[in-house]
Amino acid sequence: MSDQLDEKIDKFLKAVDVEIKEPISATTIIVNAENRRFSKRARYTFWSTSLAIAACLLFLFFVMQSTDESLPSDSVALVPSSILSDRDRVLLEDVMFFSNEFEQSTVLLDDEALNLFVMLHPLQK
Amino acid sequence: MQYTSAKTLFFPVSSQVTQNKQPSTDEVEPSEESRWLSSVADGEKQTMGLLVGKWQEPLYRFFYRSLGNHADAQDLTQKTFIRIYKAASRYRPSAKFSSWLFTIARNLLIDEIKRKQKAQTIEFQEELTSMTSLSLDGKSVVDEWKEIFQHVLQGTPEKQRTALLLRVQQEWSYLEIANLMEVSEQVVKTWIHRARQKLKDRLKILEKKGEL
Repeated sequence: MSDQLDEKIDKFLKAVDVEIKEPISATTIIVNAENRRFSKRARYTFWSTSLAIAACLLFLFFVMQSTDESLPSDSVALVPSSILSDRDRVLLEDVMFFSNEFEQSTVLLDDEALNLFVMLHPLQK
Repeated sequence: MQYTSAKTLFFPVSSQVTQNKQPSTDEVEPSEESRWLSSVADGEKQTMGLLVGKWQEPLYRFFYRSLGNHADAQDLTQKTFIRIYKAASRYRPSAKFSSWLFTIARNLLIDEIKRKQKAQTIEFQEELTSMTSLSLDGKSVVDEWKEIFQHVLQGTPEKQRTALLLRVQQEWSYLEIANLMEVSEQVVKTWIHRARQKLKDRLKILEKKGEL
């Protein structure tokens, strides 16, 4: 009984009746192997190029950011109080007034900032 | 000096931990496959045809019984030969060619099983449920029990299944299987016994039902 079962199992496992649907040719193997080799190389090239581009973009981003930081903001006055005379201050206020009037981009100091500046750094007499 | 896995087939491992006292693989005579591979490595690509001709059926049957469908068997057989072709120049006849071939085949099989594991488990459970309550009307009984067997076989752990297939289908010794799978001969025997027992249990159920 057990032997018969074993025989049946062995026959099934050996799969002698199983036929290859599409026999594989050596040419197919060689062609595929060569193609895969190429595509593998192409994949490496793609990733290394992408990484290089990403690194360049990152570098440019940081460079631009540091450049931006060095420029004064439109609404901030970076004028030391020691160099401003009363006359200069009036002149500056005039410039500011006209800049605001014509909405020019060269506004250096708005009213609030100027007041704060004057309060913190009283003009020398 | 011992060689026990696909990676180590190329490079000697002096401190490999195995439970077997294996014969030295350095003593292996260069087989005709080794000579064919040397030719392929030397640029005689047509020699690959001899290798494919000799080994495609055993490989195909191994994959077919492991995965249960022709498309996967075809695909993995082809992939195995592609790997063999690419590795031809690195091959050293320090172990039996069939050990090397089936180590590569098994690695591919494991990758494939992992890739499909999730979907396969769900499908398998559903199909197995439907298979057990199967009506044989209009179907060949032989085809039917083969289908059921295939499902039972696929339900066994990969190690048990591979050990059983290498033993019965490829007629390997327990020691050869143990070397390939990096376990002791005793473990291999246990795996084979368990896998066979599962198939027997299923067969007995079918016989009791009068379906065989």
